[in-house]
Amino acid sequence: MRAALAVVLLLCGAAARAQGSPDAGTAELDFPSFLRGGSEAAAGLDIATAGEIVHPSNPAALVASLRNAGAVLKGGQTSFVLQFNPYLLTKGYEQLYPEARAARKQRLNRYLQDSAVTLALADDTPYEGLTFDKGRFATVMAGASVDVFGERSIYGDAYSTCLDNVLVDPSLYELPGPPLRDDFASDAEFQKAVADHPAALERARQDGIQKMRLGLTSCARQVRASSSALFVSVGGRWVTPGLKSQEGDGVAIQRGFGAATLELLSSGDASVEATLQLRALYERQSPGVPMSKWLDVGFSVGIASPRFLLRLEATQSFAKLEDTDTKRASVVGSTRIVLADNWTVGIGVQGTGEDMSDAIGQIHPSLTVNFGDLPKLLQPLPKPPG
Amino acid sequence: MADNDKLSGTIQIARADRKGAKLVLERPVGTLNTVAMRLVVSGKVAGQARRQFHNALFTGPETVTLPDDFLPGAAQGWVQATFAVADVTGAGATFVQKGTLVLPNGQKELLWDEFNLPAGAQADYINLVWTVTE
Repeated sequence: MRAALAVVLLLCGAAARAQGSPDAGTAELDFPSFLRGGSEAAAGLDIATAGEIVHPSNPAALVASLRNAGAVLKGGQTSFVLQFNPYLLTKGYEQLYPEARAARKQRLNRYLQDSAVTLALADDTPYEGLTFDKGRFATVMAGASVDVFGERSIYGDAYSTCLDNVLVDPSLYELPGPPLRDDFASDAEFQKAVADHPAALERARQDGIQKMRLGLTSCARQVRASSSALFVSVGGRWVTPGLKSQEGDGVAIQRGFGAATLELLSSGDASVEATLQLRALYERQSPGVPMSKWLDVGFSVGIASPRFLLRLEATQSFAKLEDTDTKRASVVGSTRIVLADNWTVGIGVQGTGEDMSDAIGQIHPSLTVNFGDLPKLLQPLPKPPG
Repeated sequence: MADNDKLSGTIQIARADRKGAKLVLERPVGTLNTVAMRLVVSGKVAGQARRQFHNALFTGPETVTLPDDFLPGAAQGWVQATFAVADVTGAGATFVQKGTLVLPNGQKELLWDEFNLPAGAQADYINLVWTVTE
């Protein structure tokens, strides 16, 4: 856990530095994980822990994502979430695409390429109906998710073939060369050509960039529409002493889960996605009591566009384990809209109860504001010659 | 692009010395984040532009031997190494790509791009241009 915190702090620092850099505001960031909808482990995974798993098959997956979810109404705890792809973080940052493809022949690399790790810190505790002195407790959350099939990966065969076809297009390479004096009858004509050259080059560059962008997006859609994904996830959250802890406060696990999530449907154009999920859950309802253990199923439907996401989720327990005595059901409806640059606002409803009608009866609204940024992996550049 | 790029350069080569020229393209160094790069070498030969496509994605280092008629038979011409760079992860990339035009008589000209693709930008070019004069 200490190591996890160290990673969080390290990447927070990197993020803070990245924000200060001149180009931080110019990145065309469109919240890869939560707006694309694809490849997220959904259907009832703990919202704060791993509700929005980043996955490389996402057309704009992250090295690391920094997210600050603030719950204005009763939307849950304010949390600071970090997600990253372990392969990019450990090996991919120094590799070219064909090298990552080659590494995929080893199964461990493949799983690392197709997985996401989520770490989160929140103030207070997740216990419902209990209030503690501010700062007494904090919650640490961690989750990992891997796509077992791996067909949707950006390093997979389907995406790679599509990418080759995008880059092979000869029209991408029509950047004009510099004007040569001998090709012009007069100095004046040559000077004009020299003056016009930068603009012509820039036009060709922008045309090519646009073609490549469309190509990459289209590849991601094709791959998603033609394959399915099975995610296996594990995670948990721990209540820990906060900054103003009192004597005797210790670390206690509050929730643990293991889940298998199957993406049933993922239409490329409409970005509609349905997922079915089976989970084993361990949860402590209040401090000091034994953990309840049960199995549940979840179903989730999401619709995503670049600036908007709607998701509906429901879970229902079907088997109680050991001495657990209550049944559980939950419903969640959430929307997210991109406001500007790195900010989104989310409005949602959520309710939990013993069964579905109870859960619907317990529904309360939530409003969350999210900030996302992409921490950069900072590596000093070699000093160029000259 | 950073100020200390050298994206273009002029090299004086006698016409007789232009056969057997090579482009030595180094492996990029820096934060690559698994970008995909494809190289196309183009040039202007005696008033006519021509291009040489490379089939596989670039993994570098690579030495491209230019066909003997590739450098201009005319007094002036140019050779251009163009990399299309696609950022499949969207995480951005920051690296240096170097290329050198090397002539059999020992003349050479090194160019480089201190390439910076911001996160989310998805694609861009590296374009190194050697202008050849007599």
